[in-house]
Amino acid sequence: MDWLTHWLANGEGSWQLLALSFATVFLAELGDKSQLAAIALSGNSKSPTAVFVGTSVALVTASAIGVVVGGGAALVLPTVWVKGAAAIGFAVLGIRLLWPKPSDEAEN
Amino acid sequence: MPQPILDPPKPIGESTQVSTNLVSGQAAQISSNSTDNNQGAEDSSTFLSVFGTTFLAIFAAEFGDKTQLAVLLMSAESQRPWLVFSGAAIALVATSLVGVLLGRLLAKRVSEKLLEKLVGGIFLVVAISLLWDILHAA
Repeated sequence: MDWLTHWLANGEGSWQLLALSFATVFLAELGDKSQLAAIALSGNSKSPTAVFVGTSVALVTASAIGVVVGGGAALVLPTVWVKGAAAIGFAVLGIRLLWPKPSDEAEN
Repeated sequence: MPQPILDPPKPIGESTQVSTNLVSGQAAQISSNSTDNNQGAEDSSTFLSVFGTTFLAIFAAEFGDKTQLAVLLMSAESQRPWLVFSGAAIALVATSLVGVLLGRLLAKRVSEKLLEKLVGGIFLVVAISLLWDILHAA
């Protein structure tokens, strides 16, 4: 990210900075796991609006904590445990959906 | 609604049966009425529970992730942290919107059974990707 730090250090205008941070985060998130999770959660939900609001607020809160707490974020919440819990949660959701149901077996 | 009064006289056991049916029928009627009345309340509780689960799942998955680190790095470098944060926040809302719209599109195009398998598969991919992150961070 050398080009980025150079660009930022040279103090371009506010709009460029806004656009740059938008583009960086947008491209980083495109097709990333949180967007995949948003696709799956909304495809499976009766309330896609709630999924949209929940996803947005969660992502914005996580980055706000990044800005405010800085490098200390990992001290506030141990990243490995939080991610591990999330991994288990998503795995359980996935297995529950993929597990053959009694009704499926009756049809086959 | 059945009218047990017009029915021919029955042994005691059977008439008890009828009255039980009548009572349970009324109960069903009442409960369906109350569902209609509480439609708004149920919608908002669904919204809140879906919102809460989604928030927890996404927050936990994203905490300490590369996006959070990138925003942190950029805001520290720029000396204008809230401007960087604003750009990042708009981007995050935009990618969420794209994700949710794709999910809706998928739900409309694909049969319910296939959708379940696809969604289940995506959840597993997310879980594996999180485990991958953990192993690479350690």
